[in-house]
Amino acid sequence: MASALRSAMLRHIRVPVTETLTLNGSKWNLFNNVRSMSSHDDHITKEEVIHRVLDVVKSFPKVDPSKVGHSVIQRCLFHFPHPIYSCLVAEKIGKNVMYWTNGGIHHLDGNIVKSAFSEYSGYDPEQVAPDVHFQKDLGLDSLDNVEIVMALEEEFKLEIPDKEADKIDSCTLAIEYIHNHPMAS
Amino acid sequence: MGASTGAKLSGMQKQVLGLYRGFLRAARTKSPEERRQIESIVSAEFRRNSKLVDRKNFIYIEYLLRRGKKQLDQLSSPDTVGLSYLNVSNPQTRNS
Repeated sequence: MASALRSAMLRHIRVPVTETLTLNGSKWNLFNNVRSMSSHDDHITKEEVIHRVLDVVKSFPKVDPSKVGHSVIQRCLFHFPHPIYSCLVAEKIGKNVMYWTNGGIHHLDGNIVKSAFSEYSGYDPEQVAPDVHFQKDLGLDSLDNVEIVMALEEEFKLEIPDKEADKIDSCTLAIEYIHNHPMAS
Repeated sequence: MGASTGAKLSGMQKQVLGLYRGFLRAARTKSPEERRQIESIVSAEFRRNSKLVDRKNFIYIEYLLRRGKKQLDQLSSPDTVGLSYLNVSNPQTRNS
């Protein structure tokens, strides 16, 4: 029963990766791109970058670690097309989701959402949390922002020029920048 | 890089953040103990001024920027080992 439901759901759920992941206007489709110019694939993977960036952010003294997470999934769910489309009170991934369609209120098992999510985005849902804005979501000020970027510099042994550093204001951009940085280690 | 969602920073704000970054960079070159000390003093000073100073008071902010740059130059010198804070009637930072 559950598996039939699951496959039925999956047939309806389409998470358009490029569209969904164009969060904050940043280029999330990097996941699937072949980065032919890159020479550093061997020693640092995207997953590792995500993991370590989030670790740095979570361990920043003023950050509530529980706030670093889940908003990608929430936004992702808002992109599910019909029939779940217009719906959705998404809580955390893995929790049940309520949604409305013409037929009334439905409940969607959280595990289905989870597997649909990872199937379409290629992410481990437990790890996903990068779409967190330092100042808006975490209540930090611009000085904290500088400190976080500096902490990331140290973690990855980089030097980020001021011009770039000023732009990095969310985990998304930090991950993107670091992942594309040839010297990151 | 994609458009950021945050408010655009003014040139002066960028200068201030750049100066702050400069101080944190300079602090890295000192001993761990001094580094912590420097970071807490610098951070407190920036935050104090960010609350105290009216954001439209450009002349004063410019003055603070210039003063900060000089202090940073001094701090960046390898001969400078640390930073201490002297609280006279009028709060002042001094390099030692």
